[in-house]
Amino acid sequence: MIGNSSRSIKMGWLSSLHRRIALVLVIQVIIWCVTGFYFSWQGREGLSTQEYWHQLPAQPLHTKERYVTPDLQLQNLGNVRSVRVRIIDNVAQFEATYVPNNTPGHQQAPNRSKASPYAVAWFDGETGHRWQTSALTAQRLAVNSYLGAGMFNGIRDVHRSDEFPHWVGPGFRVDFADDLNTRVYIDQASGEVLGHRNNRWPLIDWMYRLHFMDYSGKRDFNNLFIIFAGLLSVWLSITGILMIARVWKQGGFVAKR
Amino acid sequence: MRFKPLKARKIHRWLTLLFGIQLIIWSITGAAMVILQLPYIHGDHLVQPADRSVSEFTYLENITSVANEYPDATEVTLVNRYINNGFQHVFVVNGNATRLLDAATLQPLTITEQDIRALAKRYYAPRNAPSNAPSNAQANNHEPNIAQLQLLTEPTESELAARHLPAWQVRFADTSNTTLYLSAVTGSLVTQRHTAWRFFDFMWMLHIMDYQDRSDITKPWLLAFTVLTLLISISGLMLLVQKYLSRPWRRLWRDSE
Repeated sequence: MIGNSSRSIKMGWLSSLHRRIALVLVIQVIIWCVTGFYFSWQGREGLSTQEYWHQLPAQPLHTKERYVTPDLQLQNLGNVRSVRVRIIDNVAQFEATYVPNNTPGHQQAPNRSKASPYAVAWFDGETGHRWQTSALTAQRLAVNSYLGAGMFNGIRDVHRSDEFPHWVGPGFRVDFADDLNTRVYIDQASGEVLGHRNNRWPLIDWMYRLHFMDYSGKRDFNNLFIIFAGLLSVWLSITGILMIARVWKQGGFVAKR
Repeated sequence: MRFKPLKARKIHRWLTLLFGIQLIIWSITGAAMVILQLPYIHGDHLVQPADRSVSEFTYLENITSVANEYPDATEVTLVNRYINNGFQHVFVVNGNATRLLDAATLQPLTITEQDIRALAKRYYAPRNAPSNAPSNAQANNHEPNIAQLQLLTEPTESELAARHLPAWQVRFADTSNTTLYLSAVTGSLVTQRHTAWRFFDFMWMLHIMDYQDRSDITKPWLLAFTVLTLLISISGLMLLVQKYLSRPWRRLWRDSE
């Protein structure tokens, strides 16, 4: 008799705990289901907003007859670890990766989500000076990366953008007049095409924010909210299993005649 | 026979009994993945730069010759790499194929097993060094111990994308089961793996329910389980509403009459 009553007290405590955690978490669990369904339904391609994206083919180096190497500038950088040469918009570009000294003004590679101990500097292979992406170059790069039917609809300077949370800017935003209102972002320091965004992006962005409880939009997948909610959901599941086991034991899942 | 309307409690219990297992898996795997910090999972702390600073920028004058010799070349990178028991300036050439050339003579170089051993030990970061410090393992009298070295040419290894082949797999005898993958053509570090990464990858597989490639988020059973879990959550929410809103409100209404 005493055994039965203590067991029922324990189970009552368990049910109460399950309910209280559920009270805190139920909306988030529903959000996880809806956003998870959306991610799965859209797939990686659908989530990338690259409907009209065209990967620019790399240009062969032999198309340039001569290269002006920025020897002095490279030496001034100090501890250079690598120098890469490629062609961007028909102009040779030198990209030096180096260990920065303590003076301010060093740049990191755009589109790199993790912090790198290295800084990057870009030089024009025709003048030997620092690379500068002009608005005209940015427009050409954007048009070449675009496959849609829309026309060029303007270009503007941007210092940074929430649409590319890890990008520090500055650069250009090139708009196209199409059904998705596509915009293309170009990094000014490197001439790199960061990617495309369109009308679908705000919804996708909010799906990410809600799924990962990262309301800042900085794509911090290890924030305290999500860790706390994750641990609570484990506890919710464990108490749920124990309650289901109890109902099973009591014959709650046996069909009544 | 009398028709009884299904109650939220019954729906909640039965759905959880039949399909709740995935909810438990999602809770555990989700919590595990958000607790583990992404830079740690990527293994940034396991490796360090192995190339020395570029000291001879005059080699960049040879870019035109490289471009003429290899017309498909689209990108050339100058690095100072440990090959043949010493550091030398080399060009990593990307085009239709990847090549390694002596920066002085422009002769093709071949990376040997001995080179891979030496490079892997240089890429391997000693545990007591900060992840950003560009120092070598050997400099700290901490000789890393290679347990296994294997040349991979076929896409059989799930830890490495097929596009990186051919590559050397270098397993170290340490507590993290560190494995480095080095390009067989250039000796460049392709990626690094360790126990925590493998654990994370396993969690990811269970989370997205792609038990083969571990990359497809559009599996139909993933969508189906998301919908069923949504039903579990909604029925749970209805129970909470009954418990914390409807019943007290009804009791209050009754008492006031």
